Amino acid sequence: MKSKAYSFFIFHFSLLLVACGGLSIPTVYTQMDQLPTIYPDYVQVMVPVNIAPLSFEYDGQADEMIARYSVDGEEIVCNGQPPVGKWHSLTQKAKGNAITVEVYTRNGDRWARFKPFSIFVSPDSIDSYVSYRLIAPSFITYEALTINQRCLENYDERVIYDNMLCGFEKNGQCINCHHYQQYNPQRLQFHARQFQGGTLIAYDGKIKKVNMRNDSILSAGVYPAWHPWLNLIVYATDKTFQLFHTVNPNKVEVYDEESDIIVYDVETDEVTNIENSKTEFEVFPTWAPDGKMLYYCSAYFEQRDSSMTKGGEVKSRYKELKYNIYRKAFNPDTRQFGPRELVFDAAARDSSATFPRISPDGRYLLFTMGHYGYFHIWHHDADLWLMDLASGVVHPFTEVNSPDTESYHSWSSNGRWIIFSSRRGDGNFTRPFIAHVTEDGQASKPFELPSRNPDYHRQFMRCYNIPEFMQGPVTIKPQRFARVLKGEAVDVKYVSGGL
Amino acid sequence: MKNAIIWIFALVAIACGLLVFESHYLWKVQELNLFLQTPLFFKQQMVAPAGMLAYIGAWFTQFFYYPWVGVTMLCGWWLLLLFLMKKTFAISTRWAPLLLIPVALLLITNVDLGYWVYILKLRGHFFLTTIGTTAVVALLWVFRSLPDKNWLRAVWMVLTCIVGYPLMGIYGLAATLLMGLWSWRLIPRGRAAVYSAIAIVTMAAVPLLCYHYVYYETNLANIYYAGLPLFFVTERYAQYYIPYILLALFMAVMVCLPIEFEKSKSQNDKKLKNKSKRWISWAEQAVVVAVVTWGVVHFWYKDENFHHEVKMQHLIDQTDWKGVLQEAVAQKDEPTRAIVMMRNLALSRLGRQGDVMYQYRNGSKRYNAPFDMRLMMVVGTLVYYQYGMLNYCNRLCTEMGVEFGWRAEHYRYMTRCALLNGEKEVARKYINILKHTLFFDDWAAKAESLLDNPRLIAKDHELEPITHMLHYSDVASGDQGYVERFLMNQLAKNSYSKDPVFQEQSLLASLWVKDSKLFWHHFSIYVSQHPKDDIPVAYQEAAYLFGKMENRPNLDQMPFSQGVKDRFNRFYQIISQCEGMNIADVRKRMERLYSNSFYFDYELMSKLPEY
Repeated sequence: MKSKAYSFFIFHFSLLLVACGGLSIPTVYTQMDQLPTIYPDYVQVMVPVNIAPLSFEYDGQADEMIARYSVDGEEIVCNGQPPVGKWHSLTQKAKGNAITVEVYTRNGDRWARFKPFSIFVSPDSIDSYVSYRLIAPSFITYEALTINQRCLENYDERVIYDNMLCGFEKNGQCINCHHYQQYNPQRLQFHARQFQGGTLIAYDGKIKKVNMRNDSILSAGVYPAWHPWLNLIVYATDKTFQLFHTVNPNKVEVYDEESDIIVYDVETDEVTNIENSKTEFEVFPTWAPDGKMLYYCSAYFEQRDSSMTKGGEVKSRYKELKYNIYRKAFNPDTRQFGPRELVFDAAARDSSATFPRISPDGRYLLFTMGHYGYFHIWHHDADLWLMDLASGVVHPFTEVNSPDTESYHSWSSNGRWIIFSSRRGDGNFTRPFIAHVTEDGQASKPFELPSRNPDYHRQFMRCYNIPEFMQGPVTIKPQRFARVLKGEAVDVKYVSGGL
Repeated sequence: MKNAIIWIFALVAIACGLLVFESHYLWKVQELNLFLQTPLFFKQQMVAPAGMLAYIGAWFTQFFYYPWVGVTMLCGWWLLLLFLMKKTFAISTRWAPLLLIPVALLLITNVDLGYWVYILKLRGHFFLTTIGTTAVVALLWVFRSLPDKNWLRAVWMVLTCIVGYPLMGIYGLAATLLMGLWSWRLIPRGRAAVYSAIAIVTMAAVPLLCYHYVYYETNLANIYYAGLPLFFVTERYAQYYIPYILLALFMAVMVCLPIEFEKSKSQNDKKLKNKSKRWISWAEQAVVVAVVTWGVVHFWYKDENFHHEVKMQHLIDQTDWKGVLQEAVAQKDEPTRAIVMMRNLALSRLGRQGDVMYQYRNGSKRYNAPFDMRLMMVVGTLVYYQYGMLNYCNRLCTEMGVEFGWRAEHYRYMTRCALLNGEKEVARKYINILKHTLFFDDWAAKAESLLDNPRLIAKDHELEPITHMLHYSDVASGDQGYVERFLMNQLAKNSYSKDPVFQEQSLLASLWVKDSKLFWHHFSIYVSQHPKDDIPVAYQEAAYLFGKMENRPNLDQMPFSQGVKDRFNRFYQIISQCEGMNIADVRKRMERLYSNSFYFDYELMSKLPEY
């Protein structure tokens, strides 16, 4: 106990020493044949030229670790946490090439040198910011939820909004569905549920709170998709329920008893249904980057047992819900939608496809595939799949998948990077991973979002939901969002027959 | 010196009281606490005002793992507070026992909590108030000691607010306010008014500025209360703030007393000496001590069930099942369901549940809390874990971790669940987190040794019993917060019978749900699995009762003990005489002779309130 307390007191001091002191590469060591086991796994990954330093820790038994990052005579020698400035100088030099990383570990007075590995530096840059919701892997409770933004070029992380600014005990507030128009941090929206709830829409400095509930639609909007240039946001509306498994490692099921798709006009506050079939559960709308096609998912469900309520029957047959991907043509001039077309028939493969996202060049459709249902983030079998929209060829995105869950993906604005959430680390906590995607749809090995403290994600007890790229930071302060949320909401007006 | 003796005597008495009456409670307090020696944990505490106090409070609270260590530290803080108060307020020896009042109030803030301890969100609250109060007095002492020139005291007052509020929340504000008040005694009135105005403005402005520019996790409505525990569930329970208000009033009186009082005190001391009337002084002090003692004893939370519950939890943590039963025997009041469930668990672990479970007092007493306390909050995680419902244990840990903050016991339960579920990587995550604690690192190291070793898990005295309970079929539903009902229904409806331990629990659950169809199913398997054993009396009684109800043929040819039949006949003879009577009255009438039977449980103990 005493030694533990002592070690704690010297913890910061030793950190300081390491940070300030000059580390030197050992001259006497045993050369190992294998690559080092490090966390996060950055061995042979490809990174954007402007990414924050890839700090890592040795994942085996060692008293000390020294890493040398080098390219063409320029090097950083550190304990696995390179300084931001020097790192960027190194990545600039290695642009289109690779940084070589040598790892040395010490046990007692003996040093070992592992086989060096490369970090490939792509000349393709990445959007400078990403935002995500941080939530514990809880099922019902949601105290202390935040939507955060993180600068990908360094480690700065700030809160966009925290639900504790409005929520208080029984008057709790849930927040979700942050979304941007074309990566623009000045045009964002997110939902607050329950206490002082509403949809917050920020548009070029103005913020308004919208009450999206209306008798003519199922619920307030969820899963937003902002048109690339028009002031229209398409949402799903749904009646969502949760079930908890007693044994199944998936632990939670989230399913809809009904769902539709609506479109909302940000300027007029008018809303109308686009899809509201009683036998189809439509969800996850997303726009093609040209703004002329709306993609979404839908599952066919017909009631068979008239002795049960629809809700009861959906609950008992939730594993039969298989979502396909559809699309509807959209005319931006007339604002009219065309009939739906099947894009990917997942049900025919006894599977369920969700969360469609189109690459900025319009060529690829990236989606999540699982065995059933639509809330794949809780399904360990969920993987990312890629469809070439030009050829119609579909295949699992093997290069980025893991044996565990992958979902919540998004494309960077230049289309060369994807970010997605994965539970590959421990099966429970989603972490953001980034992978490079070439023009012909080949992906590099994904790498985990770097943190200043490489152990951070192992200690952190929240999940990353919906990582979304942004071209800069959201500059509106959380308190300003709170002030708007505490105020009155604008009610939507339902119009039939299109906006 | 005399003061010190009185104080030390009082603190020793308090320490003894805490250790004798509340050692299990103190253990539970640290189980519900968490302190991690990581920069991330520190950072996470600092996102709200009073974060530093919470951080320090949590550090000290972990020492209740050994209650005597924690109590010694707490008493050490109080001794420091006593000395600081005496020095700061220049209290004369004669009136020094008055200083026991704030200590008593601080003690009450810890021992009047009862079930609040399960749901308080303020980390480190057991030490936080004490440390906050001590810091306030120390800041006042500096304020008083500063020379009265160049507005030094004003600068100190403003600094106290600017630095004190982020670090200590309301305690920083309180110190500022007290300085503003004290200035009327310490400096000329003209400037005192300015001091007071500065105090009020900074007190109002600093939290607002912090809200707008520093913190993002505190609701505007709560910024002035940061650092106070929140006694709010669906409404505010203001009575729990009384000790805090009295504490603030005491401090206010101390700084508002006319300066002459100190002189008169010393003059009084001399006078008393001269007149040899020390006994008056002693009497006065004795009255103060008596009143303080009465107050502490009166407000000390003494609920029997609460104390049985925390002790049983502690004993279960030590896998001392016999100890749990000894505690159950000591039960005088009607037990809560938490107690009944823990007792039944102990009986099942000792293989005696079917024989003797009805010999212990049954009931469903409401938890003695001003709010709607539920079994789920008291022992939900423990019960789910011990009954092998690991997904639900994990779920409840997570829900409570989110709602009330992560606690040491959550991490340990989640580790156990992950180990038993074979979720190695997430188990490793929790183990690594626990390695950053002061007292659970050994536990974590042991858990780590089980990570890749199912054989060791099967031999582990703590985990092995749970391995027998991992045979539920998967059901996707929800417990609606009713842990016992959900668990018993899941068990009763289960069909797995290869593990006799699980099978017997299913049989017992069928008694709980009082479903004859399920009972016969499980009973027939039980009998076939125990051909040479005596059938426990509870099962015989259930078989006889259900058999009679269903007019089963050849019932009398089955090997029931004569006692089972006789009791059935006598019981239903009396019951038939009670027709039309209130069930509570019938229960009372039959309790003495028949409460130890399934007949009593079946007829009179159904429809118990569920908390």
